[in-house]
Amino acid sequence: MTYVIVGASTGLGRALAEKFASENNDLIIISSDLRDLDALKHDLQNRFEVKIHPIQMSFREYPMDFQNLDNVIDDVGSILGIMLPIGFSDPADNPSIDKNKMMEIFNINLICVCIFINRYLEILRKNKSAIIGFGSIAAIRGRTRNSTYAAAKRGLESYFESLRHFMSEESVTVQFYMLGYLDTNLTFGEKTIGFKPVNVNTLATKVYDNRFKDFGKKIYPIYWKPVEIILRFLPWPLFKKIKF
Amino acid sequence: MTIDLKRYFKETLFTSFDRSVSLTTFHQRPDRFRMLEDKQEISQIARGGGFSYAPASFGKNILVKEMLSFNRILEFIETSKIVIVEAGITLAKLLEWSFKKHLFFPVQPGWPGITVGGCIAASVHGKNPHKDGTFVDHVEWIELFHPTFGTKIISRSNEAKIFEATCGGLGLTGIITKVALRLKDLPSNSLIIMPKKAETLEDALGIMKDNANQDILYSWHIGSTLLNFGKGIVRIGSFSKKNNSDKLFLPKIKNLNSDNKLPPFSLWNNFSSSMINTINQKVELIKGDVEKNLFSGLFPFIDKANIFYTLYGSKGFNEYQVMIDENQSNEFLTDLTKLIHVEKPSLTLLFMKLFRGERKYLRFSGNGLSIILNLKHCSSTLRFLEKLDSLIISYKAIPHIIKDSRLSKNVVEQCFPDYYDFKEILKQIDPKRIYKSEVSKRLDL
Repeated sequence: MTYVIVGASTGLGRALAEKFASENNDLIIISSDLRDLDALKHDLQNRFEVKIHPIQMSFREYPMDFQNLDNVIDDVGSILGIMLPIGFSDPADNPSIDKNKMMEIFNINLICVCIFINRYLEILRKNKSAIIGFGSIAAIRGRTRNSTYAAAKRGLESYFESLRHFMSEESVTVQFYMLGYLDTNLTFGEKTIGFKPVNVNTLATKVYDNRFKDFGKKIYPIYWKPVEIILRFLPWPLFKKIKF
Repeated sequence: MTIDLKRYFKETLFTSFDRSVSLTTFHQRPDRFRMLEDKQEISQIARGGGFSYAPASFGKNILVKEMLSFNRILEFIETSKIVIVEAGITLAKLLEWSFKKHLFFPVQPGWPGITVGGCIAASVHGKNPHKDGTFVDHVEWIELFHPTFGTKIISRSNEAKIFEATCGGLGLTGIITKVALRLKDLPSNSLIIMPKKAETLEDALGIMKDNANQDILYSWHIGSTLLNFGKGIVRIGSFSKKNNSDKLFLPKIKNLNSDNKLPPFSLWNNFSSSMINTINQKVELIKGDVEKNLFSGLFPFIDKANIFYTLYGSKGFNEYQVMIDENQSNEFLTDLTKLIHVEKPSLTLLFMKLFRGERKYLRFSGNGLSIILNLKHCSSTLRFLEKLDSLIISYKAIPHIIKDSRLSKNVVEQCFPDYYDFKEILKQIDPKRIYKSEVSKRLDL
């Protein structure tokens, strides 16, 4: 059986690919650069003797080209799950950001993700399967920095709530991880306000172990839960002073 | 065009492994090809595991490109036992995979977290360089990236000059991106280690010459002149004839680069080193021959490394490695012993290995005896090392550049006949001298 991982060439996506392959699962790995995917494909095939199908695909623009992926899915027959650890932020992201950049951030973090899931829902319904999405603690409460990114991730969270509701009578598990700082290039060099970025391999193992559990949404690491509560209920005169 | 590095890159504090150089500079962790093959011609250097004693993988205002994400096994050609890997792969990951195929890479330096790219750039050696040669002897080809020519495959038959300059070239010819390594059949899952008592350095040399073709062969000696100087053990190891150990696993390795919890002073001194190492010698001899799983056999220092280096404290240590021609080994050992007794440096341990290999450019190789001195960092050590520099120059011996953070251009120039040839070839490959480090700046390369 095969899992699909979008954004598999780096960060959490790569860690998920390594974990799922190490557990003898075939994979369809998707990202924007085929060279990165090819290197990962060879590594996983050499180490774990599983089948890896790399697909070059961009989530920056809509419409997306699904042709190659459709062909591979036809070949592999059925898929056990889709994971979408994909994200893109920009240091210049605030409400006055250039509109093309804004569209790009919305596409990668929300629109293309929803369209992607929408396209393969019917296939997923045929088996016991999982759809796993990834949000961000940036979406807890909107602020100046990362405004488009946070809006997209909040939208994605809402979409996953709806998806879980829609699939509640089916054998498809829908999960959404709201992530704190991870040790990836997205946070490398960023101020992490005292929170140590979490190792992606640890998270990948948790995702694998819990992939069919119907928990809905999870904040990871758990110590972000009180932060979430504080941020949500922080009075506006104080919240508006937050600079991070 | 000047690039505002502060805008694009994180700044990180880097410290050389011997703790003698510490500075903040720009830091990038490429994790995709388009980041790695950036065509911008800014001063930079590749970094692997960061275990180089001298600051060879960082430098002031030099962008450090950390290669650890490029750690994949790309191809394995079963018939020739050649594996093609990305340069950021660690020896631990490579071994974990190769053990399953009952293959191994015959040259293993002291720490499994070292990357293959680092092993090539530093021209490292293993547990018996007389039998196995050095790491680069088992490299078939290298893919090298440089902004001026993109990527290029270099080998002994293709771009041989660049290949030879890259092997032991301290990362100054470009970024090593891929490497083809020739593996060997793993004879067994375990090693038998036989300790032999050595009363003096010369005694150990004799024992080693008698056992030159064993799988593992090196000696360690008490360095303190207070008590038992030169006494030690020759470790002779060979693969077990029976495949009776199923412990072919890689243990979790603690990070050696921990900056925390270092005492502000060194606990190693002439008294502690003579006491601790005398006890160690006795214990090892009482235990006698031991069978070790492959991992502990290949990395015997792994359990003790953290405590050993922690005892040096935050001021760190100095390491000095010298290669002396085989015809002069005994004479040199006599002079070295005399110098140690006169200067009484705070010398913790000495190690010796027999060597065999071709000397090219600045590579630490040749036919002879290698001696490693591990010392507490203090003014008496620095005075002693200056005198040792003069001694090795008089013997036409070579120092290991990657081990010594204070080695001067003057010493390197005099010891390496190919110093100017190496500089010349760097000019040809990298005319704008993009690839730099603190070491290259110190040695004017």
